Amino acid sequence: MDPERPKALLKQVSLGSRSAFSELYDITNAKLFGVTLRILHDRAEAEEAVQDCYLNVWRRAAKYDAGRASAMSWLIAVARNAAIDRLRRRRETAPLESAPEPADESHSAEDLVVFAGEADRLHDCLGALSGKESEFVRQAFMTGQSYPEVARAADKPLGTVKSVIRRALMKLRDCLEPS
Amino acid sequence: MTEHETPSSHGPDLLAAEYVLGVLDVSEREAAETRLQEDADFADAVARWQGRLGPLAAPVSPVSPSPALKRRIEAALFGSGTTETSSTGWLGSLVFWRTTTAVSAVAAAIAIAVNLVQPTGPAGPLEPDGVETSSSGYFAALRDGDAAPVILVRFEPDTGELVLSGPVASDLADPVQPELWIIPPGEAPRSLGLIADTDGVVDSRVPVGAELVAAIGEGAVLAISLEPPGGSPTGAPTGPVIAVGTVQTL
Repeated sequence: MDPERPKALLKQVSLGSRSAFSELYDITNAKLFGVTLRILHDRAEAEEAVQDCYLNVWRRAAKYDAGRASAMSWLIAVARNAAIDRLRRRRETAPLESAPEPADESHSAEDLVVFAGEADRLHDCLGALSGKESEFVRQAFMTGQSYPEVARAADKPLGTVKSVIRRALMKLRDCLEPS
Repeated sequence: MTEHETPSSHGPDLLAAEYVLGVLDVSEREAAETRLQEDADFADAVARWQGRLGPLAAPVSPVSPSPALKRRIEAALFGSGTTETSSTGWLGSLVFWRTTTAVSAVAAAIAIAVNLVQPTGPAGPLEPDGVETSSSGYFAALRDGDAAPVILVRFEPDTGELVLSGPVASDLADPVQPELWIIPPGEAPRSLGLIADTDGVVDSRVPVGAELVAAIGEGAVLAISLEPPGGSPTGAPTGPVIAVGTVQTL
């Protein structure tokens, strides 16, 4: 997929183009469903999160700022938000114990194109973190777990997990955008 | 005590990072979302973190959802009558001129584009010191998707007019009028005015108001939507977009 294509389509969607919305859905839905499925572990609920996501994409496309994030990163953020909202609501009523899945490290050819140099830069910066720092950040991102859930899964004190993740986030920012 | 620190005690950028990563609990997320609506700096920090962390999803394998999901989403957005036809939408309106005048129109459009890109005369006025300004000539090729240019737009700084040329769809059953919009980077669309449509061919000069001249610059997007006669009733595009393109320096 041309990494510029989602950006061009989002612009048209922001102007109300249904055909651009249709094409944007076609080229991004499988990735976004993969992301929500990793968080929710339930096909029906993950599909509902994808639906929430695209409704928000249609309504908020004009708010997307290409100077801040790639279109794919923005779409993933919208999808993860929808999935995490559902996850938090679900756990309020019936807490689930689900073992975190190890992150799939293999990059598909398509993903490398979608994220182009972005993924390489982030990968390098994650590599500069300590093992625990990158592990906790990846795990939180993939699973949508809150601080206490990451701590429970790792069997570490909550305060330790918070400071490890916070330190990792600030290191990532400085590595990605050296001042 | 690290354990009892609130996210906000570490500053808005860290809170934005924690919100995007998704480690906040329900009440902290709600507080962050409220702040997102009210605090532009915080919203900006969140947008940047979305860009930084998004590539963490690179290793996630794509999984196809049920084919019915797309129909459900389009029905929720556009009504139940638009399941399959919605994907043609405004594209369908362009098929009309493609199938009737396509070859000659595209050939003409490309010819105009070549002439614009390789201007025979000076591209713009001269600065008092005699140096030609690099920002004086702007040009945009508006397209429907990946297709050949539909409308060519050139900004004439002398007259402050945008000169449009090229074919436009005008086969729609409902009376509609093409309206030209400019979308400066990161901003909402602003109307540049309605486009005269003579027998399906745009040959129009759109005067640009002084307040909008500054918005015409490299990276801004020009788009044409089909609006009710008299233009968009809301001040924002309401109808289908038939062509879109980015402003470039000549």
